[in-house]
Amino acid sequence: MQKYKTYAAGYLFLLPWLIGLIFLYLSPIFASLYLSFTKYDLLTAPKWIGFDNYKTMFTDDYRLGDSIKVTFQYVLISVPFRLAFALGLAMLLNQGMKFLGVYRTIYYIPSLLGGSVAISVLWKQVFDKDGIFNQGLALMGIEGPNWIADPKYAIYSLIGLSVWQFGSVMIIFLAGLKQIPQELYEAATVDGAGIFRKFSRITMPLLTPVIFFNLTITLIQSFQTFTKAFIISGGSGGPINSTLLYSLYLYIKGFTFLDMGYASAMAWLLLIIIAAFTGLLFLTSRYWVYYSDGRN
Amino acid sequence: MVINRQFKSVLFHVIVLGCGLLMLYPVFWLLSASVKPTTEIFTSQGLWPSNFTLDHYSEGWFGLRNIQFGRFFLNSILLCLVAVFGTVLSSSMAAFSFARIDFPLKNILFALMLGTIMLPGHVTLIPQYIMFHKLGWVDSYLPLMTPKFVGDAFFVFLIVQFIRGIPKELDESAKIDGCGWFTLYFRIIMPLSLPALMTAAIFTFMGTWDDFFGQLIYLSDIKKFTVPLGLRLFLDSSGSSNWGAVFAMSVLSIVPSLVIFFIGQKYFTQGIATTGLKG
Amino acid sequence: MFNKKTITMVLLASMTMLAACSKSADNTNKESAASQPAATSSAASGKKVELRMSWWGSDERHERTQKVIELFEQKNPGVTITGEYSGFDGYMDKLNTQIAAGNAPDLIQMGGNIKEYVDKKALLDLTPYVGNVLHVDDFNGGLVKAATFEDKLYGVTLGVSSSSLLYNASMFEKAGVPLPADNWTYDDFKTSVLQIAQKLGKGNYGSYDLSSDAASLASYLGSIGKEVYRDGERHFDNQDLINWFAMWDELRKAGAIVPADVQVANPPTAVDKSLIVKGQVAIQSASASQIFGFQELTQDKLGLTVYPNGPAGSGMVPPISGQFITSYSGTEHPEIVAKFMDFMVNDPEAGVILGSTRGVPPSGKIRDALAAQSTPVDKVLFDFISLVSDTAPPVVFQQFPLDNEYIKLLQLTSEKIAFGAKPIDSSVEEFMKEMDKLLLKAKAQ
Repeated sequence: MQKYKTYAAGYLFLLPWLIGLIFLYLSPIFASLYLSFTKYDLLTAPKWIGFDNYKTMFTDDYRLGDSIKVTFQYVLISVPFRLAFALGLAMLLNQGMKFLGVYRTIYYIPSLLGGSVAISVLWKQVFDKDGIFNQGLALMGIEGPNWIADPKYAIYSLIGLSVWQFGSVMIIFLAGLKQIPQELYEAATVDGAGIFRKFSRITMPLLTPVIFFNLTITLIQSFQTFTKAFIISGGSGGPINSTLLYSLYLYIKGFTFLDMGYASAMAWLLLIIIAAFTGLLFLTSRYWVYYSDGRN
Repeated sequence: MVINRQFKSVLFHVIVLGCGLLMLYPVFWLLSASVKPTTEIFTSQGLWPSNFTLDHYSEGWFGLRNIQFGRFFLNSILLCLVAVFGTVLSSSMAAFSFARIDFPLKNILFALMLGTIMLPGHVTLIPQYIMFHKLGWVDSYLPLMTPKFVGDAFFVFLIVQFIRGIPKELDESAKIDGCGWFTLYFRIIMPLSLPALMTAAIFTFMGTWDDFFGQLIYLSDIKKFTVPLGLRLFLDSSGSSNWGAVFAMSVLSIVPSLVIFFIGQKYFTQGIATTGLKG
Repeated sequence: MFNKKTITMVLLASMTMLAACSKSADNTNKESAASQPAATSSAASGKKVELRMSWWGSDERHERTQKVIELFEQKNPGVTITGEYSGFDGYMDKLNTQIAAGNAPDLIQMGGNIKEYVDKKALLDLTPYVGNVLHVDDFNGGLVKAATFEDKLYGVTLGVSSSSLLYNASMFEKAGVPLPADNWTYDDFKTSVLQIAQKLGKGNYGSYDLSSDAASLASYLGSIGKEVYRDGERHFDNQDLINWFAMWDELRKAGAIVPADVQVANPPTAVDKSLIVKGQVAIQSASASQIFGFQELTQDKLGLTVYPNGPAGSGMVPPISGQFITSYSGTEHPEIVAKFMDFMVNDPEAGVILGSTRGVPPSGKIRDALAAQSTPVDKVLFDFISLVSDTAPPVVFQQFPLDNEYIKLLQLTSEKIAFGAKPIDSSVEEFMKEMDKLLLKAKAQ
């Protein structure tokens, strides 16, 4: 009896989400699955074409390969940098220094700009041929390329933008650091532990749930990055597809070329890719994520 | 020794502040562009405007026919506050359930929840729009607000991770004291996860504030327009854009989030967990 | 109560998919209803009519259009028109979403891609109203044709524009190079851009790289007696395209045109990023009516000219409509919609308010009324449009059916060549292969 009461409580707390899942999310999700087997131009009714979209994706889409390559490059470089940057600054800004509130705010401001329309213009001021970044390089005697516009480097300006807006990840790390009981550090100090010992024995283990969260979410979000690429490349994914992130290509297919059936098929392929990565993270998490509630 | 420590501290501030200001260069450029005359914005090099003008601010604020930009601010703030309330409430409830209560299908439901954020939103947009249209909700805030009350997978996951950082012994002792699930949720777990809740609140505020696409699709009446939509009124990439007004209003549009962040950051970095444990 | 609501919600949710399927049937029904104009004049019977109208543009256009709406409402009591307006970003996305849900506005501003929407039966056939409510007889015939498909009229031109070469006259003067003549040739063009680049030195260029610009290519093919597309086929071959890219490649190597990376960073299509405004590039391609946006951002003097001549004369296409006002096929008040369209283009008062925000007004009467109060930039535009009207050969331009995909393909090919990622001949080969695929796809639709 007690057991069923617990079940009921579990589902009761979950109720808002369950209602949302059933009424707001499931039917559009299934609709998109259905559309992935159709030819659907938005303006007229979808036509069932079986696996044609999927077939085209794997055999006859010269841009999809480029797009997947660019997306992986973006994800594999930006995720570690973003996390490292955010964690480093979170630890730095977690000390009992003066003006910390101001500093945190300063470092968060770039994230406030988010997907603002002004970003495209601002980013150009930084990474243009004679932008501030290259002016900095010039002081060191290096002549920088046109970061935004050179197909070899454009993806790095996008990665730069992603790392620049590390604020939200930093905030989550900060909140995680604050959750670590101060007593543990005090006790360790009494035991004569140094900074590095405290970091490796207290900070890191207790922060693993938050690291795990940030890693998973940043990974999912990076695979889906759209706005940044859209704004920086003016919606084109250029030059020569070098910033054609998967979601941007999907959007171009669906909304510009009016091939929503194909875009839906692409979406399901992305879902499978992301799910595979996330699943892998969850599988490994039991070996390195430490939860205070004692369950892993 | 003392000098050394002082020097270190000064060095720390110089480096942190210096790097911070360097990172803010684009923001300074934005500020400077918003007070330059239109013909100078894209043609002059330096940050310092040779002719200082506040025209763009008054153009942006008062320049639209039959409506002031302030209206968009009010709409956005209202929308964001409702979104914050809804998201924090519903996400924390779901997170509490996932983190602390055992029930059948839990892992499957959790995986399903993460699954919902793995599908790119562009392909569910049309079916969702059709659904809201059938409900007669298009051109109201309902399609933008309702989804906030059913929990957001991102924040549920975030709060779950934080709750799992709270020792489970607390629950046990609370139960011995005769606390029900609701009391445990509301009186014990929620206060202890305040940093996570504040984080969720601030992110929701900013995410909603910034959501151009959703607001564009669902809102049509200019009186219901929000700040991102208002900004686009000055911007026509195919023809002439009033960039001055865009920059001026962009500067103003980051102010509410900035204020909220500055106030909020105290709370989510205050080490509430420890004080809670002691008490 | 909860139960009832739950059931409704479940039903609604499951209808989502069906809605998408049943929609086209909906459209055709409404269309057949619309072709009986007499039955639907509800304003006459004193009922309130509420219409929605969507357009994109800048704040000035918003303001002027709203004034015209207010004027129309005054003159037609009982009619209210709600404007749904924004910049161009997302305009098409929203419109497509609305059409998919059967919720599009009654009046829709459309650009060059009108044909796609006609083919998909999203737009209202205006033919029944022409002559009685809607008057287009004093328009240039080509403008009416541009929105006529299978003998039915689907849109009314709001402003006449044309693809054009936009030039920075101040740069020509500074370099001591004569301004482009109306009958200049590709050789003249090359000489001018080379001279400008040489005289003005590093960081300055005679022209943007127009090899990626669909309008420039169309005009080039026209000037050698070919065409991009007509009646389901392409009308040019590999060698034409190789010559085209080779010409630009030569200029690029001579430093006369904008290098690839600079072009991508400062695309000429974005008014605020174009280097013509900064006085660093002398020539670019643009829709003529865009000159207002460009001129606003610079103190240099800008001008408009035609594309160069080739052996087959000027490849210019006749003035085409920059923008149309069209109606959603699902509108419930087609006659009032047509009346408002007529008001926008033929009412003298409305015409003066709208000015040339969407290009040169199509009606001669309105143009005359505007001439009295025109600005110097207006005059540049008006003169250019009449120049093109006089010189362009009398062909009706046919748009490539999958225009967006064609434009993207051309741009990609051009970038590959410009960045040196792929040699010209193999790039062209790839382009032709993909273009033929697009033609097949278009035929299958």
